Amino acid sequence: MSPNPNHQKFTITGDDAPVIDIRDLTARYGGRTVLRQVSLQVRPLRILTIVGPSGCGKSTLLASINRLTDLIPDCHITGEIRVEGQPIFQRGYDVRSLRRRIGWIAQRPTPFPLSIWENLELPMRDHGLGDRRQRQQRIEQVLHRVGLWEEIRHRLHAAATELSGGQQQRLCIARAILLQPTILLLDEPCSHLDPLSAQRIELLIKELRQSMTIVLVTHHLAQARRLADDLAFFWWRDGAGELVEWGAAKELFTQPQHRLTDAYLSGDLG
Amino acid sequence: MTDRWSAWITGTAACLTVAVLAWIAADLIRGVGVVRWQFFVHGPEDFGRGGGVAPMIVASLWLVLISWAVVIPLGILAATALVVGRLHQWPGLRWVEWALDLLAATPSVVIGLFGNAFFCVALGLGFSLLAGGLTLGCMTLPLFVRTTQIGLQAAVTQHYATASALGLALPTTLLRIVLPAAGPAMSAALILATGRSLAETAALIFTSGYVPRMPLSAFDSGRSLSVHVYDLAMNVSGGDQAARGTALVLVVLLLAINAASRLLLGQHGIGILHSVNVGRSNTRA
Repeated sequence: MSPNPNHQKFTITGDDAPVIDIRDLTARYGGRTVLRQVSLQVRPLRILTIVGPSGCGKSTLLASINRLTDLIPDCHITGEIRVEGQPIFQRGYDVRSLRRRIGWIAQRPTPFPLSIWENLELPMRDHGLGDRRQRQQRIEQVLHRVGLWEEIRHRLHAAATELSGGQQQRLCIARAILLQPTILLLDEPCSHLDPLSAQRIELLIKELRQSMTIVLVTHHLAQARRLADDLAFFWWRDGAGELVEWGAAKELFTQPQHRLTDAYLSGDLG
Repeated sequence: MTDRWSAWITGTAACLTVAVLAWIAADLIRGVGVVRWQFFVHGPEDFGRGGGVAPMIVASLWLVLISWAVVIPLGILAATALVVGRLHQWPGLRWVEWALDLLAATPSVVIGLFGNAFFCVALGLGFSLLAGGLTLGCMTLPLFVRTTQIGLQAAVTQHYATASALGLALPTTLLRIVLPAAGPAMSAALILATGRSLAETAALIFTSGYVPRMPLSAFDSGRSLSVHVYDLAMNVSGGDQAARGTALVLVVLLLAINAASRLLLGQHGIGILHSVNVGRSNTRA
């Protein structure tokens, strides 16, 4: 009953061509394999939710999509990832532009020790997006979009670290989407938030799906059920994470092909 | 029983520490008698038994400022290089850190001999405040670099992944996020370095000299406050009281420099240098 990493429940055609195409991805830290032979595709303007127990390589998979794994000493990746058709591990690939096009949200909110305004403006300015007036307009628009404008409009120059955890996380999402990404990676974005803040983030993720492709790692099956269009289930075998099964969320929740998936999604496992 | 013993031992250790501090404080307070306003504006008379310490205050300030001019820019650059080097896993980095630690542990009298040979003789600066300040800079640089490096490393650990995920350029990440976040660590590093500089005697006797006259420029020789304390206590009979007064001035000067460096680098980070408001409330809308 070994998981079949290449199991796939639907075929991808035409307009549904994958935004992210992962083939045979293996990640090693030093000599230790953390992720083995993962092949997975992310469809445009959908939410792909990744579930599985801790330590099965979910975060590593996410970090390899925007090549944040480059920052980890001794991290060695084999296989291929194509983002919007381009192989991202190719020599000379423009990583800075890749990271502008892919937003990444960590488990804990990560505002810079700057004012709220500078947190939002600095990345835009660094990427040369718009003049001062345009940036101001965009920031206001995006703060409306993440539902922060009314809460913080009078203290835009206060330290970002003074905001509540939920507000900080929405600020981080605002900061990421100000760079107009086409893909958003969220690594358990609600795991350190209270239920009300988590609910606001969930609503925001649903809204954002209209304009970008989203990959969400979560531990909450209920959250996965609420948000996922597609679902990927990971498990570990011989100390490394493997993709057991993936496909349309509805089908996986109702008719999983694999016994492990069934046990995990019904709450009997993990 | 164990609790009582541990309370007894830690209590005794605390009392001993406070006793040392109290002894020093008492010595300093005994010096209050000689500290009048004239003490700050006059030069020494009768080999320092009378008069004041104005030339020594000026010489000490010169020495501290010159050492800062070496330590702050070089130290921040070196610490940044070490942190960036660690990110990119530069080879040989451990050797550089090892060399810095070795330099930090080098006795100041050895540094003084180096300063004499290099700055006074080889560079032809002679016995001068410039040579003394540069020597102090060399002496305190490793301490400043390693302390700053710790602060920078903490900021990198906290913010580098986020900045990279946003595709920020490395100079932006360093200048706008990491360096300002390490402001308090740099402030602490500067205070430690300054404390060592002001307390130094051995390295200065070989480099800035000990002539107790008012220095008119950085190229003049001069006697620092700590060298003056040493001279009064060891070479001048009946100079004890003036030594205590000078030591008091030295301690007050150190506290003032601490406060100043906190203002420059501490609370506001090096935000002052980059007009960035760092980690502080600002309710301007």
